[in-house]
Amino acid sequence: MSSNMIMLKSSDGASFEIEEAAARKSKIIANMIEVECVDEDKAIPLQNVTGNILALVIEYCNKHIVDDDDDVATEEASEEEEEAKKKKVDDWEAEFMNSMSLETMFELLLAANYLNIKSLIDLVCQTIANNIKDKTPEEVRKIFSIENDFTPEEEEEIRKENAWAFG
Amino acid sequence: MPRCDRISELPESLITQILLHLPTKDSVKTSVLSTRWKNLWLNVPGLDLNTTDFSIKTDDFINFINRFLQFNPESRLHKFKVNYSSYEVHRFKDRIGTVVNRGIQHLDLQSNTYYLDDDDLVYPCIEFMPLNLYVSKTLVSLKLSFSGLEDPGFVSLPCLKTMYLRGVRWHSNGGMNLEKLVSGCPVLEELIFLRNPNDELVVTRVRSRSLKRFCVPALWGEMFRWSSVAHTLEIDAPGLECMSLKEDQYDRIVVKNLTCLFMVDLDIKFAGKSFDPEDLSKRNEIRNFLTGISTVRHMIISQKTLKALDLYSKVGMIPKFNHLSRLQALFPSSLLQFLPSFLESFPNLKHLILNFVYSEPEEMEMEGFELVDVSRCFVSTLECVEIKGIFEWEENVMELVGYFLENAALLKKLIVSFIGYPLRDPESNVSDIYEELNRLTKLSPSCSIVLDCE
Repeated sequence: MSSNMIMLKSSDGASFEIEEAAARKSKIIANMIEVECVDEDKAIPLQNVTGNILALVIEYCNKHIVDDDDDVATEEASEEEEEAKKKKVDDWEAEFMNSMSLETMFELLLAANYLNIKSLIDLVCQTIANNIKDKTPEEVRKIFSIENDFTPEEEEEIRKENAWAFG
Repeated sequence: MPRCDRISELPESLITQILLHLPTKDSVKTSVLSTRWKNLWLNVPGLDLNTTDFSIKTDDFINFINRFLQFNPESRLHKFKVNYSSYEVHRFKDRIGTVVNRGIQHLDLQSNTYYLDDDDLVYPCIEFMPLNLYVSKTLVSLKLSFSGLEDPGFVSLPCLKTMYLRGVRWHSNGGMNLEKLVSGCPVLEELIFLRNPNDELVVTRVRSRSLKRFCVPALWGEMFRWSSVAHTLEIDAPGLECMSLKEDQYDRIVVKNLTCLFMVDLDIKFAGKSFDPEDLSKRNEIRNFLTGISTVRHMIISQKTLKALDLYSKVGMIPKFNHLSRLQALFPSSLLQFLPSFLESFPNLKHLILNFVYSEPEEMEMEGFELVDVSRCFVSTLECVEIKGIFEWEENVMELVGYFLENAALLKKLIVSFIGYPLRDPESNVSDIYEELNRLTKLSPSCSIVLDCE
């Protein structure tokens, strides 16, 4: 099956070729394609996304290109195969997120937000949330280099307000 | 600090999205991180709470919810997930009503079923859902455990796609039931339904044109009490693709119009207690059920179901499943004799997975074990056979493997998976088995044999 390829250009001038079906994961790009402001041989400029982050976004989109067709149960694909396929995607996502630093995750989240890719936003948010879950505020501050600018009295006051959560 | 604080620089909408993925307890804890975080948790469009985190004696829990809901009284809420099964919460129904009005999409409630009376004793109770829940224009998924549902007069849930009802109680005036609830859900795709053992409804009816998946989940050791009333489950869903029946919660199961059915997963014995082969109406019921699901392409059946089918096959006909291409069965070794006639029902089977289950010694009737008859699928379709769960390379297994190799004309692959082998039996090793297998006549010369020893 041959499919349309389109070009994306990052803020630092790097160009990427991507299948239209994968690029449509981004609501913004899908919109641009709909209103036909995409010229065959002209790259879509994405001012807010650097090349290294755009490469990650494209990797993600390519991996999830078939998702939209999944609603239709394919003739011979059994439940088990479907499950295996889903597990493979889950494993890939875990590995994908595992391979990057928190720094990169935030960049990726901003890019996913700008490009409006709902499932990628959810994936990154979930991964960042996992770094907060079941941790003490001290641990969370350390993980994310958050500087505590409360006075001890102020902090104590807030803790008292919702003592149940700090128990 | 060498690294900079990137998370606090994110736009507020993204931080609250991150916090939405956390239990509210963790989200609240972020309020002390720094001044930037002080009130962010209050802008998260959802709650995920468990009453066990709050003190029983005070109104902490409801006060907390009130404070949260009042902080942004106009904002929309995405998700409301509360486990309040540990104790009664006064005025909680009103709060559910409030969040429904605020455009909730995902509602997940685990209700309490007891209340503490003035005499300090605990009594059973049913907590009914607020009436606006039944006409929510935004609800996408609904999960209720042990809640009460009464007749709202009118049900309209135009966006609801998945519903998981576990042990819900229908109001005793009889006006409300599953059929009525589902009838107001035009786009419902998935229904998971575990009947409350105390409900006295004679028929549980699942009637939907949009439903794709239906499941009666396994109880996992929870007690299920049988009442004297006979219960019937009736499924009428022309769009249904997958059906899992993992628990004998009904005395009778009736299926209608399952023309799209693709997959079934059965762990039932077709009767509340046990199947009596002399019972004529039971026989008819089983035959009608099997005929009703006979368009499936993929079937998974448990040992329990297989035993029931073996009993049934002695007094009735199993219909032909002409479309079935993949069958996965937990096969007790005591029933191997049933295998050839069982496979007769699947003339176009391509892929067979037998999970071998070693029977209790008293059930062992393996003397004179012989597999002779050959199903039509052996001649025309059977391509792959997997035999799983083998402990030892013994006579029966050899007979079984030989049966497929010698009779299946188009077989491409035969896989035998051992459990804990060859550790269990270091005497014979894999190459010996291969040698033995190679001595067998293979009807399909190109068939490859794989021994999988983990």
